[in-house]
Amino acid sequence: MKNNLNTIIKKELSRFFMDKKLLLTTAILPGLMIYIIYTLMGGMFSSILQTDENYVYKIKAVHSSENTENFFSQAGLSFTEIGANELDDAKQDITDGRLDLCIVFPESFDTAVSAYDIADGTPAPEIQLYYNSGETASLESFQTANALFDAYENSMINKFDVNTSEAVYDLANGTDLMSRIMTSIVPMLFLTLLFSGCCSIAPDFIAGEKERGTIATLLVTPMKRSSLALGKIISMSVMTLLSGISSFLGVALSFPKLANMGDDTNIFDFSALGIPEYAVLLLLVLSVVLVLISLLSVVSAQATTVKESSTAIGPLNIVVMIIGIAGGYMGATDANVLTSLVPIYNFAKCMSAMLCGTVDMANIIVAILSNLVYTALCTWLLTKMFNSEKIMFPN
Amino acid sequence: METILSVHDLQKTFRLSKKQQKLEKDHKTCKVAVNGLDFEAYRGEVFALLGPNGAGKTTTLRMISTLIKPDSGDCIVDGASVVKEPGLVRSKIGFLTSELKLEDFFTPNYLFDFFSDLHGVPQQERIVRKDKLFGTFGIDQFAEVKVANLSTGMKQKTSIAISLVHNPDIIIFDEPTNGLDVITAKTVTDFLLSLKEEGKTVIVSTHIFSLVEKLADRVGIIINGRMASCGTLAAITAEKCLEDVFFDIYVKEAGSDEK
Ligand SMILES: Nc1ncnc2c1ncn2[C@@H]1O[C@H](COP(=O)(O)OP(=O)(O)OP(=O)(O)O)[C@@H](O)[C@H]1O
Ligand SMILES: [Mg+2]
Repeated sequence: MKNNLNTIIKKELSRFFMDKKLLLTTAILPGLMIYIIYTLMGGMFSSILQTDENYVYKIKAVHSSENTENFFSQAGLSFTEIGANELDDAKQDITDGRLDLCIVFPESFDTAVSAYDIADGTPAPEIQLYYNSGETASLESFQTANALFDAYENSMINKFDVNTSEAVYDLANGTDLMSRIMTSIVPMLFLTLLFSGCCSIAPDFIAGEKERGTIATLLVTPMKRSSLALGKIISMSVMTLLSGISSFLGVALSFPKLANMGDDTNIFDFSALGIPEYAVLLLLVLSVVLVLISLLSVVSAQATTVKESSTAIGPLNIVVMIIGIAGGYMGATDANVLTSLVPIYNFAKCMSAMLCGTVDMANIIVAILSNLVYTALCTWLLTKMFNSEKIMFPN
Repeated sequence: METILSVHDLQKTFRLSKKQQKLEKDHKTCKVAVNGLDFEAYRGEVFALLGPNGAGKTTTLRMISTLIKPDSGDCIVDGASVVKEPGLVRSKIGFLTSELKLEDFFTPNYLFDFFSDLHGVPQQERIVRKDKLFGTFGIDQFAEVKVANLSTGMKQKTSIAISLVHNPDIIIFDEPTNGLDVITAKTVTDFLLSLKEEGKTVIVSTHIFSLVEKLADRVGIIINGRMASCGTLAAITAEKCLEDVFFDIYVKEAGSDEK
């Protein structure tokens, strides 16, 4: 009866490849969509996070000091001197984005600094930096100026300043949060695309066959019901996998664009992902495809029409997404092997961990194996359903 | 005469869904579709199940072809029990009803090969059978046209050819001429008679008297899931025409049901 399995798989696949509309919506569109979305997203982020390399910061200064001006010009920054009465206009310009930074020195800053004695107890001369955190260029110029003044301070009084790179630390924290969001979004996006692939396949190939009366034609042949169930799940998995590979290609091709969003803003750690890791990732994807398609097949088999089946799958979609988001978010921290037994969650968790640079084989193997067990369980259930006259012939 | 099909005390009750209950009088929760049915069919004959709508014809044929399971009783098909060896029964019969559809995306040619594969028909035999069946029904003309683009008659002819890929000895046909025009209907009835000539056993269900008179050697009149009368067509129509016999029985049966 192994022959029958091949026959079924061959038939389902030729049906798939002959149906141009189905082929387009499941195998071609997902990859194209993800590529376009990611490329757009990458472009958007980089324009937010990164300014043109040749950009010259527009900086103005009140009571500018000669020494600092020299120090700044060494770092490639320059500022124009304005009077104290023009400060309010300059502030408005910063708010409106016409100016990046305004530095207000105390009067005769250089002499005040050289005369200043820490032991004296009087407050040190204060420099005020006005900037706009909503404007990337302004924020950057502020950070640069801040760092420069710290360095200048060090050079002046020759002492070690611990707080120098406070602003740099802030930036690092921002990247971490960003990368965490991204690593949880990517598995979820994968799940969304795989699920939508399944959604256009399972109802049509299971409930659709019931609705059109073609499954009955199969059931009067001596073929084993288990061959039919397994054949359908395998062939539908191939279709979904094609849709998955299409998404995968979309991601892989647009990753560089997404990953190099800024000079320092490396969202994903790709040094950890070589060919073997991508292969593991593919196996992981395959296992979750099997779970999704067999689950949807079972849901689909109890429906009498494609429409009814799609309606039944709707709520499942939400559940899968929620579990997927949870798994993606927990991925970086959840190393517990037991949670890798939870279907869907295990995929999102392992994938997100991999995107963070952690390849935890124990978790991945448990995830893949448990997914195979769930698939076997669903296949068995589907066989039972094909055998049940109440389900196959409700009237 | 050799018995090839015997049906013993066949019983089938459907539990009705809420929607179905509303259609029933008294809002019954169950419907007895087949109620202790007994009959036999002999090798090489055409046996017709004649009955009104809802009599239980389709249900009976579905049980014989193992699509649904009897609540009790059994059918022995060429020595195989539908309860104990459904797989074996399936390999011995060709079953055809209008509810068995062909997939729109494939051509008759592809489907013939596909079902031959499922039945394990050897390559050589398959070519011969395809030639013969496609020739008989003129399927050659549209063998490479997708089912979606075929007319009802063409689909029906293709369905018949495909249900017979494995050259079964028993052909079970529910309402063979339903929805067909007179010309296609004649092709089908002529073909069924030619199958009989070949020594095949043909079981048909219908509510059309003329079809029974044209085709059947023996007839079973089924009303409310029970066999009201069964015998050779000649014996049943010895005194009155089939239609009168049927209505006499129907009035009697309906009357006994009222009590
Ligand atoms: N799956 C089912 N669930 C509930 N009731 C059913 C089911 N299948 C058949 N019935 C009922 O059983 C009875 C017998 O149906 P069946 O289809 O066997 O009749 P039939 O003789 O083929 O009639 P027709 O000439 O209309 O085809 C009918 O009352 C029908 O409503
Ligand atoms: Mg019927």
